[in-house]
Amino acid sequence: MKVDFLEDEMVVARLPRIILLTTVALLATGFAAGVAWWQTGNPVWIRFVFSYPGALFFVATSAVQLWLSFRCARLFSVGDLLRPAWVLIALSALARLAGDIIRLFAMTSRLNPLLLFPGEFTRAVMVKAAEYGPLLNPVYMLFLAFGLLYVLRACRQNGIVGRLAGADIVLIGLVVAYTVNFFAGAVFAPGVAAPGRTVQKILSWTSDPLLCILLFQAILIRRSASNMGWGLIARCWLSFTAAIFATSVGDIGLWAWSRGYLPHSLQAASWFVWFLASAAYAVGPAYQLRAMLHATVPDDASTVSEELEMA
Amino acid sequence: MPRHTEDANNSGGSRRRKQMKQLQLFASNYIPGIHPGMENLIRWADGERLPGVERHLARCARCRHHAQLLRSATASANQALAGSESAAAPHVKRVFENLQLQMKTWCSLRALSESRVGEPRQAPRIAGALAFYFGKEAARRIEHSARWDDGDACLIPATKPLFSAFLGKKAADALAHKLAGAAS
Repeated sequence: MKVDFLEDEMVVARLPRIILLTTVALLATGFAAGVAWWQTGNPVWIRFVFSYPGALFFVATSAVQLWLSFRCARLFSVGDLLRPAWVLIALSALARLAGDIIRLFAMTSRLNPLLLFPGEFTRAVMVKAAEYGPLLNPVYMLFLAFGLLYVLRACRQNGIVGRLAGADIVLIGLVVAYTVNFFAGAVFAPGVAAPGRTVQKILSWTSDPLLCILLFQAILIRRSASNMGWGLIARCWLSFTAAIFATSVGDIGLWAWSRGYLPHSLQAASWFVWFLASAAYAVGPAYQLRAMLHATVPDDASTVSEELEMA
Repeated sequence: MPRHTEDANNSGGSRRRKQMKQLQLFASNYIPGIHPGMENLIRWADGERLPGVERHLARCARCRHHAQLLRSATASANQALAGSESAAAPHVKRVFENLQLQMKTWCSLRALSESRVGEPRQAPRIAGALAFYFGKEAARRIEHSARWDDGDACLIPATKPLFSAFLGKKAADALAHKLAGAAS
């Protein structure tokens, strides 16, 4: 029984390191592909990275986040303050995973099973997948924002809510300015016709305001968690903060790229930020689950686990 | 950082904190939604005369409820201590002390973002658990608010709500059981 407990905890304990190493390997591959693209002018390598290892990485990290978040939610009892938070985070991971799988169906990659059946129907499904896949972004953000509200409530109840520093206000101000600029240019601009506003388009517009809310919550949680030190629970919420921050950077990068504000060399770098965001989303629940398993492990087994961690 | 510099920083931090508390107390009299804070309520419940708190309590039902709970806990503990013939007196005293410690723990965590504290004088086992789950600074804060001679036995009930909030009731119970077992 003790061995089972310990094995389970050790598997979860190794996950952040495995995810980190995989991310580093993927970024190194991406960097090499970026250099090859820059040297030869042929984007085939960079496309390969995003269509194969990149696509797999997004699906795998979302699946890991979903699995770990559901396990965390199940370990909380009914009535625990953070149980709804983890249910919502798991639903957010489910929306991310669904979005990643739908996006995979839109890719011209051998990983896409639709390509096994070429034809008009497949092409139509791929077009629809490209259209509807991104719509799950605001869904996952909405679930996450509600989940983080519970976390902030727990911080407030325990008297550990941090305070915003000047740099935080500047950062939030920048993202809000970007959102206002986006809405001024894409939604309220005189040339944008109202009949062109489909439900999909309106849903996709909600991503940026939701990201502002998420960033505000994430910074508050970061201030609260980092003031405590670097314990497992603090690391869990710091990972979510890093993921939300990376998502903001990636979103702004995409906007700057579409407007031509980004130099050629930074374009690819802004795409790689999405790998960091995905990795951080998966690492957060791993720390939380490890903390919960460690607390319930029998005493002598938990000492062994701490010793293994030190080693 | 040299010890005296750290002490100077801490005293500066605590002075600022005191000024902020006074400002909060002042603002709570005039601005709806601003409350005098748990520390001021504890001082009021302990019998300190704080006209600002009294004015706020006259119009804020939530703080009035908290203050009444605090005052009734203080009163019943004092009553039990006064009647030393009661067999339950030591138990009530213990409960009261734990309640006070829990309040101090809450207040000490609340000040986490304001200043850092020096090294603790001793490290009970729960300090290791706090550092493992939350971080070293949280552990230091709580240790500083504790009674050193009682160690884990005193800190476990005080820190349990924090573990319960972030790890869940089941995990917090298991952890408290483990720590209590090690302490006994």
